[in-house]
Amino acid sequence: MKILDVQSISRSFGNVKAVDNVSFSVSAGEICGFIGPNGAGKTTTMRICSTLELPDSGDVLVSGSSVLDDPRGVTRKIGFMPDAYASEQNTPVRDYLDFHARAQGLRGAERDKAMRSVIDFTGLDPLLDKEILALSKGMRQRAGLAVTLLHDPSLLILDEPAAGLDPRARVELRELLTVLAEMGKAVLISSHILTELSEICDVVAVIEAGTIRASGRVSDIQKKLSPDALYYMRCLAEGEALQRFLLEQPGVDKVRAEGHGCVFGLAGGEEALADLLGRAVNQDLRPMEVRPLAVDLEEVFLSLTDGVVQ
Amino acid sequence: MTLPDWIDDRFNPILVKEVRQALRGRYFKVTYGLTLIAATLVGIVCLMASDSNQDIGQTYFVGIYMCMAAAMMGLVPFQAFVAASGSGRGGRAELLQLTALRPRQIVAGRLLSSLVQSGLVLAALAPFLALSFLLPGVDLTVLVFVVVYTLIFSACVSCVTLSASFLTENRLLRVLLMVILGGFQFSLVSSAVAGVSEILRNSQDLQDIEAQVALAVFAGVAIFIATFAFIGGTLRISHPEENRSTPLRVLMFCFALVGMIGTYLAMHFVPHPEAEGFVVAYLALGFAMLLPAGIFSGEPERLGRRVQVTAPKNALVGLLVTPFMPGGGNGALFNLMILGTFGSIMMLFPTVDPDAGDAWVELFVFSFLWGVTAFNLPSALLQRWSKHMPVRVLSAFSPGLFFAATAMVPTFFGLMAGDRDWGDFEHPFCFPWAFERLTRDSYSNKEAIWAVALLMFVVTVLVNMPRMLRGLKEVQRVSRLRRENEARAKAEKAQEVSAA
Repeated sequence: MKILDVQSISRSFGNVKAVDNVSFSVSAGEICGFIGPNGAGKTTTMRICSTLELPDSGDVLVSGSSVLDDPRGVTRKIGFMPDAYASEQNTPVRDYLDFHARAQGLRGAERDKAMRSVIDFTGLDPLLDKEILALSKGMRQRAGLAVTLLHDPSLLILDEPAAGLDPRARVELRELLTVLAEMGKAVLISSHILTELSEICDVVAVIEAGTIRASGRVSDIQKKLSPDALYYMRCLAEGEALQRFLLEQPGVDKVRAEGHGCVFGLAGGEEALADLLGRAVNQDLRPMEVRPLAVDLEEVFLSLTDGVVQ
Repeated sequence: MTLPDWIDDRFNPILVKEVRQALRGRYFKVTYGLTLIAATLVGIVCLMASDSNQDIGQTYFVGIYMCMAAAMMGLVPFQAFVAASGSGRGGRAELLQLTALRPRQIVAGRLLSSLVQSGLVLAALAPFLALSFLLPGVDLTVLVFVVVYTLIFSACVSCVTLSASFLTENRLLRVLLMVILGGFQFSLVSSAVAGVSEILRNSQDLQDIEAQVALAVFAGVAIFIATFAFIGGTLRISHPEENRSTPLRVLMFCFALVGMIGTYLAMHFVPHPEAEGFVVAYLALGFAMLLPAGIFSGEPERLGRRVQVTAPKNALVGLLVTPFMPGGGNGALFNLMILGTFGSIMMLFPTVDPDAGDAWVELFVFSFLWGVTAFNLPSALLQRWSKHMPVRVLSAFSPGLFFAATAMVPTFFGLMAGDRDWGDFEHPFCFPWAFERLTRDSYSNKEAIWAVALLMFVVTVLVNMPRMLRGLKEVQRVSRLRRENEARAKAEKAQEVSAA
């Protein structure tokens, strides 16, 4: 079920087309990584999705509500977390959550229940009486995430949530997001740390110069970019001999040495791989290890983008 | 649910947060402590310095009032400015747009928090005020009046400082605003202290109807400015695509109506010749009303998507509310409507001076023609570029610039051509000169003055007509669209039901 449906949105600021005919969707239980270089239009798109900005054309539907016609309905269904969050003075975590729960229109027992639920989920219990500004960045992000979850939104929009976090906080945030996706929430997350995203994202949307370069599962995008699957092969023979052999084989490309073996692309699937292995044995290369390689998001990103800044 | 819980739930969230933050913060604690210390010291000094036993209460009261006014009209509103300025940083104000809170709740919450702090200061000073009442020289009525008046003004000043805090996020401009507000508050507190000592000295004057009317008008003006600031602040933090114009137009219209009806009634109760002052005040009010109207006639024409959904579905209602909808053409309609209503009510005034009745009508019509021209002609000419903010700012100030230009440009040409009269601002394009000439029976060339005013008016109407018609059509189109959408939704629902 589509929770977020971005339909051909465009947005210009003066002569600069920040977002140009952007379309993608995120379903329930999916984590979508929204990646692109600085100035690509990520934040503008996210702001349009969260009703803070209006598109010049196109529309965004959040669980069927349009950001144009029913912005209030949309805000009830989304939780938006910008990169800088939770910086109130003289405010303990408890009061901070209480204020946001009240601001979301939660009352009485409903408010207490919502607060208890997000406190338990984010593990903020021991910090409730601490001042927000006295918390570490990671804990403040947790408080921010707790706030976005208070009204139980079906879509979470997180703008660079891992920026500035230490490795432990990143891992914890990643775990929280995975649990949220398992709970059926759709998550749209932007980040520059692509390795972070590749571990948690089901789908990605790559944007550059305001246009979507590709969207969908990372493996599908990789297939579209290059139909060849990537493999790693190691032989008893010298690495150079293996590299020479691979370069001569039909259907093999992108050969590069890595460690004691080689990485290469191969078209034709498992049958072609079996033939290749047969030929390697025949040539006395004595193959020891052959394994398919996981798709690298960084590679996908680099092959899709040119580094154009608007 | 218990009653306290129920009440707790109904509190404005911003109020709860702001009060909690303020009570925990250093600023309020320092303000509160300093006010108490100052009140104690000033009280002791006043008691020791008082010459006679007769007015010892008055001297003491003025001393305490100085501390009270400084806290309630100075420090507390200033704290509201500082707190609201801080809340806008880092996109926090924007994030509140994503909650269930409406912009007016946000501003109201901050205002109420300010009032709570003023109330706490007042409570702290209550024993000092009670002591001043026990001392000879202070009347209970005066004391209550001063306290209530100060509370009203404290709220009004807080409204102004709050809306000022939403004006800009530029740090330098904020500092400039702080200086301006500080100066304004200092002069207000000084005037209030001076006013209170005057009232204490002549407390019997409060029984006088004229003094009561003057104080009521003064409070009325302050409340109007505060309401204007409140709405302005609300609109400032609302989404740029939201309807930011209608609430201000409605406020202006309501204020105009109250002013008109008030003046009309006053004309009946105040005998000639004092009533003449009311008419002058009425005309001044009319022009003051038109100042923000310059902003309305400079707005972009098209109704945004979020404004469209607020247009009435009924065609007739749509037609009636068109002047209140955003857009430059609708702004021109609004200006015409206000001026027309103003004029119509003025025609109903009991004649100020039976002999000079026609002269008043003549002067009013003349002012009306100039008003319509100044407030609609330049903005209509700038309309094409109204998407750009600098042009809209220019458009808002264009009435004043128009009056200046119509006076100065012909004067310049007069000087160039060697015409002494025109060179001395004595020409029909100079509004003050023309107005003054019309009041003279002896002046013979009134036709030229009327010809210029009429010509400019006709040009204004012709230039504005297309955009006014566009405004009317736009509202009707949106209205029809909403009706069609509703009918379509109903039909789809009926189809679904029948299919089920």
